[in-house]
Amino acid sequence: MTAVLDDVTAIQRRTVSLLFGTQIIGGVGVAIGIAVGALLAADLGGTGISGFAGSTAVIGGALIAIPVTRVMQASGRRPGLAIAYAAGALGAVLIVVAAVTRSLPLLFTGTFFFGGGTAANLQARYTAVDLAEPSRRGRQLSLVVWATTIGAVSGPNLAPLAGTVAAHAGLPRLSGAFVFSAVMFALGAVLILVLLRPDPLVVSRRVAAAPVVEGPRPGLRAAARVVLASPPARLGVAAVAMGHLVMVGVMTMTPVHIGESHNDADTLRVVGIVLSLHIAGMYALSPIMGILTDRLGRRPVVLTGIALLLAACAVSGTAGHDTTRLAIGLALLGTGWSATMVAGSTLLSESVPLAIRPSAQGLSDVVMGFAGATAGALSGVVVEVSGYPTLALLAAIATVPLVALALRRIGPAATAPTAGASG
Amino acid sequence: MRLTDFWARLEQAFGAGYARSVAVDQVLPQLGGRTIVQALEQGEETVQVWRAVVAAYPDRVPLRLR
Repeated sequence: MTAVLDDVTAIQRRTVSLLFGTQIIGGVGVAIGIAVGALLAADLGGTGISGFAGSTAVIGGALIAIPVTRVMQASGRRPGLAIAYAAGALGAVLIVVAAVTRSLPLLFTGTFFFGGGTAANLQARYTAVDLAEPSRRGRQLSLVVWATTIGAVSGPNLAPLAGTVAAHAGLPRLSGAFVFSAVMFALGAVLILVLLRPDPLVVSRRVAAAPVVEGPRPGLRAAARVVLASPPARLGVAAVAMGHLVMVGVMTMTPVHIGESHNDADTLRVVGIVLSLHIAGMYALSPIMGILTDRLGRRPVVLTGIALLLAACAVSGTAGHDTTRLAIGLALLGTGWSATMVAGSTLLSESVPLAIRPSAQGLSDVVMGFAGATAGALSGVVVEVSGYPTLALLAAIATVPLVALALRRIGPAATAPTAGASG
Repeated sequence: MRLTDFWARLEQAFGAGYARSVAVDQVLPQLGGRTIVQALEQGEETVQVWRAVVAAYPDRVPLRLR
């Protein structure tokens, strides 16, 4: 038995190291594309339609997670992650073709599949906990989230280089980023296919000593039933989704808000600084969230995340056009997202039986994707009708159901430590 | 092992608040995909459940509690 456990530790170490690498590669692929996608869409179809590129990528990411989850549930993480990256690579290639042929429908088809890269990067965090010891799950999950930072920060800065390379090759300059993305996603798919052996999910099923109780066929619908019936799983999914909803809603409209008080050149500079701090908040501190999740427990960190999100809404919503306060607000928004994301994902993973875990995890990413897409779409309307402070207020109010879930008294009284029954 | 003893040990290992969360939130493969509370409610022996906890959290349970 000890030999088996030693093997598991070694496999887990290898898995996390590999995921660390593929997250950087995939992170670059996503970030470089997102930085340029809206510009490319604006170039082909005008500014009015440019926001659409981001939305189709988000929806694509959420919908591609569905077949990817099915593959993982049936055959393991390796084929699932590889398919997601391959879809992202296909999308990037379609976008390059769209740029050359100046075809808008092809561009949006491409951005849809491009979402596969995001789906892969998100599912990777769950792959990191398949074999993690229960007391280290938070840390290992957060490490994979953290690796994305390196890609997310370096990606946009590589865009000019990619543009130059593309121009030399006779391709439209803006398509260069996507040539780069295609290469990154393809590399991610190959690395996963070749190196993610043995498959951590398959091993975790083999290691689970007890026979897995047979339930309904474990698709997304079955996962939804299990999640709804389990208070901790419900809290996990809700924390991830609501944290994402609040974050995307407020973040999406912050550049527009900044633009109201600055000229164009200043806007880009200020947006750059504010969003950098925001992304730093989202990712740079995630290992700390992981450690806190393991030391203090999942629920306290979810509650901390909510408190940070509320503080972020208060600071950003009342900042007016004070850039420093907006920057602080957006940094808080990032850390709040990080806390709900890390603690919520960990809680969900460990509160559902192994047999249905991949489906439940996939479900959480589908829900999260649609929460983000909804928030992104509605935020523009809210700001147009009633302004940025109202948006921050509504985002704060949106956390109320999550607070209620997180504060729910846990556990039946009959088995409480204080009940004093003997066994 | 008495149930009160079981809970006392769990609290010593995880702290009062977190122990409760561990018992209610985390399904353990050693318990056939059940949580600690579910296993106890279904009549599992406390000593068996405690062994599962020790196996699942080798670096959280101090040696003197094993």
